Amino acid sequence: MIDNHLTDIEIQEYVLDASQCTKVNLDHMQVCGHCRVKATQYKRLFAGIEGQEQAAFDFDLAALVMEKLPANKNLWDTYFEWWLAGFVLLVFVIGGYFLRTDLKALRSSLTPLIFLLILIPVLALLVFLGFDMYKAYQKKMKALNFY
Amino acid sequence: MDLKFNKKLEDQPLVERVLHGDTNAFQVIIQRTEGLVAQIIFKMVDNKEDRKDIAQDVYLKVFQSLKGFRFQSKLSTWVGQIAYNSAVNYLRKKKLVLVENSSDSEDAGNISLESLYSAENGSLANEAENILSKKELAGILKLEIDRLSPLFKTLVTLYHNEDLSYSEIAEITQLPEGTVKSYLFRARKTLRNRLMPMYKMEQL
Repeated sequence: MIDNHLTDIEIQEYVLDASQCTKVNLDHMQVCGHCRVKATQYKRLFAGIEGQEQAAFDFDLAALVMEKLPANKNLWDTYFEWWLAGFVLLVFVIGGYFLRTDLKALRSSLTPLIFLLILIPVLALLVFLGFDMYKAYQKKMKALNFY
Repeated sequence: MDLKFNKKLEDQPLVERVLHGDTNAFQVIIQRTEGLVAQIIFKMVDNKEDRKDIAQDVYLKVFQSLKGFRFQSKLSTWVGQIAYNSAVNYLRKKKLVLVENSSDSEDAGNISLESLYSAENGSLANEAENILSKKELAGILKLEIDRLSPLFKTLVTLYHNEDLSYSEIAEITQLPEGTVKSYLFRARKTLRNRLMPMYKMEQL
């Protein structure tokens, strides 16, 4: 009579892939009726699980998701963004051209220190506000696109 | 070339098409992975309406994060991971338990079905009455699988129904492979222990 039976883990491993089992365990399975019965039970259990009905959604998931996807950015949108950026740049260049004498006078009337004290905060503020505006824009676009 | 590598090769053009604005390609991704997502969500979420919301949410997340997908795993595994995380977040929000205590899961499982079939009290004496139809047995097994904790249910389903390897399941659940194996062994043992008193296993 065999006293040292295989553990449940070893029996499961034997059922799932006998080629991975040690020779000792394989030999044991050959002679031990108790473990063979357990192995058969596991085999049937696995077959039972595999025979279970597959879960499936009772609605058209693809259609629901596709409805909520953001609309594709069309070519016009992309061109419009570039045109807008170009226009803004043009406004700055034209403005700078027409105001060039005033700007020069302003620059020469200020000491370099004061000029930098004004210029740096203005630029920092512009960068900060621009970044903040861009983030807000992205957030709004995302909200509009998805829900 | 192995099958996994082939799958990755199939995934890449599909993902690129989506990233270039072809939403029809995303529909193909949904159709290919819907089964796996359904298995995960059905095992972890009981409420029907919540399942619907989570499933949609999963694919919207997939769409938003597709740019960040680096093809280090199969696309389906990655989608499965998002589905699993969404379901775990749902369970957390609902304060539900993902994995139950082991001793409880292995030994205390016979209450409901015991009362129905009470095998040990001799009510199975009449053999003719005890031959359950295959359908009934499948029903009992389903009931017992459903009684497992959400994580155990999911692991059993992914391994036995979706034919995923331990490493793929580990990727989806972000658990160490050893833990996945250990949980699966425990889940199967629990099922066997619970089903044994109900009927002879050869009827399964």
